[in-house]
Amino acid sequence: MNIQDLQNLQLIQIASERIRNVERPRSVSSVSPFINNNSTILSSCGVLCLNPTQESINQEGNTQREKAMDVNMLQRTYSDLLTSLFREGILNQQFTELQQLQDENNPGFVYEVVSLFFEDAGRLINELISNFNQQAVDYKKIDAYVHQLKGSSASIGAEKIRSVCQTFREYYDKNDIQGCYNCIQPLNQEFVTFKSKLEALFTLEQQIVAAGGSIPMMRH
Amino acid sequence: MVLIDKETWSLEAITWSNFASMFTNSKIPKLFILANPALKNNSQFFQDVNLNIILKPLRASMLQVSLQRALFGGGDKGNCRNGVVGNLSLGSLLQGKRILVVDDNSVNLRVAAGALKKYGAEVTCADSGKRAIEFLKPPHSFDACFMDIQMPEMDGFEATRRIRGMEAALNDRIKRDEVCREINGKVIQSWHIPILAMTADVIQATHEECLKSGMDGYVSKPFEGEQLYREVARFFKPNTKLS
Repeated sequence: MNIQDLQNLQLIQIASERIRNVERPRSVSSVSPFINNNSTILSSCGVLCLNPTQESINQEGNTQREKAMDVNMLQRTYSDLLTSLFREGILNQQFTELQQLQDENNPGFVYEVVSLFFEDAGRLINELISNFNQQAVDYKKIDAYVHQLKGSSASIGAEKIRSVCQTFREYYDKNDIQGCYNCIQPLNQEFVTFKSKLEALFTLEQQIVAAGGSIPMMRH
Repeated sequence: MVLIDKETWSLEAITWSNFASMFTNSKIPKLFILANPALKNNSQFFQDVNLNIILKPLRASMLQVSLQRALFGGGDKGNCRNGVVGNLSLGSLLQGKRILVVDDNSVNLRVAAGALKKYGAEVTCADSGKRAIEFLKPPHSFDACFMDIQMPEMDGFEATRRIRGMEAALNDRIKRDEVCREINGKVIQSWHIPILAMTADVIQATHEECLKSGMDGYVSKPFEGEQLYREVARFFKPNTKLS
């Protein structure tokens, strides 16, 4: 140690005595090389020395910072996903209405209703596909299924699905069988997309809540 | 913004214009009146466009939505196309009302019920015309019914015709003094439950068919705030009892 260090040490000793008389220093937020190199000497003066590799207080600070970053990232991902769903026309305003119906009296409302829709629509689309594969296709029956699907997709704001159903029904009204047939594959595709995106959205929600965050509210 | 309890507002005999005149610059704060739902009989008060009414007991979510709408939703109430949640007047009409919702599709049923519950209605669900008839055979305690038109087995028109038939039969007996007029402490001279059709395809023919079968009106599916309010306001006026 050189003379300069000694003087610094003395200054620190004086300062720490003063501090000790007032309050024991609890944490040191920055770690300088000087303190690091001279930690044993300083400890004996009553100065709390924190080493970047083993300071528990800083570690806790880091964990908290990490957690906050995780939640922020999740929330950002959630907002981005939701915004893109509206932008791509997969969801419409009715979905926002559903979100507004959810409150402390009705906490899982959106999840409940959308899950119901997954079951309902899944069943209807299976019926549609199997009916189309039959020898004698019963178009009236198929139209009835599509009408159901149109109604439920409209209720939850599943815009693309609703739109394909509408197109189907327009072809049906014009007795355009080819047109009807051409709607079935897109209908299935839209449903598959819708389901996977909404499932991703719900997973993000769960993760945000589990990490102690709140679901971002979106204004449209 | 200013939140004030209705009793205080009335006691002090304040009006909107006194309130507004207190502010010399043009920035009048948003005014929220906290009112007891039992007071909804004062329809004139509730219709005042300048007063944002929030029903007690306060619920965090309702408060949040009301404030959000008043502060950010645009000053023009006519602008709020889908006032499903933000429309406080609908709350004053539907609070505590017993409503039957009929739809064969479980998703539609759940969404319609959720919307009505948000306004404070007590909602019962039925998934067929047949079930609707069972529920609405008088005497019953429902205040209104929302009925899907297109249902398999029995559609909304047929279900309504049968309900009106049951009501007519009972009303005849009431006239002839064959039965008691009182139910749940209310005196009912004649039975007529308001039935509103819920329809995704709102066209003129459907409207006529609705009225012919004995329905009282129709609303689109999913609900649209302003229209829902207009239709419901026809039956749930402050002085109306089941008459």
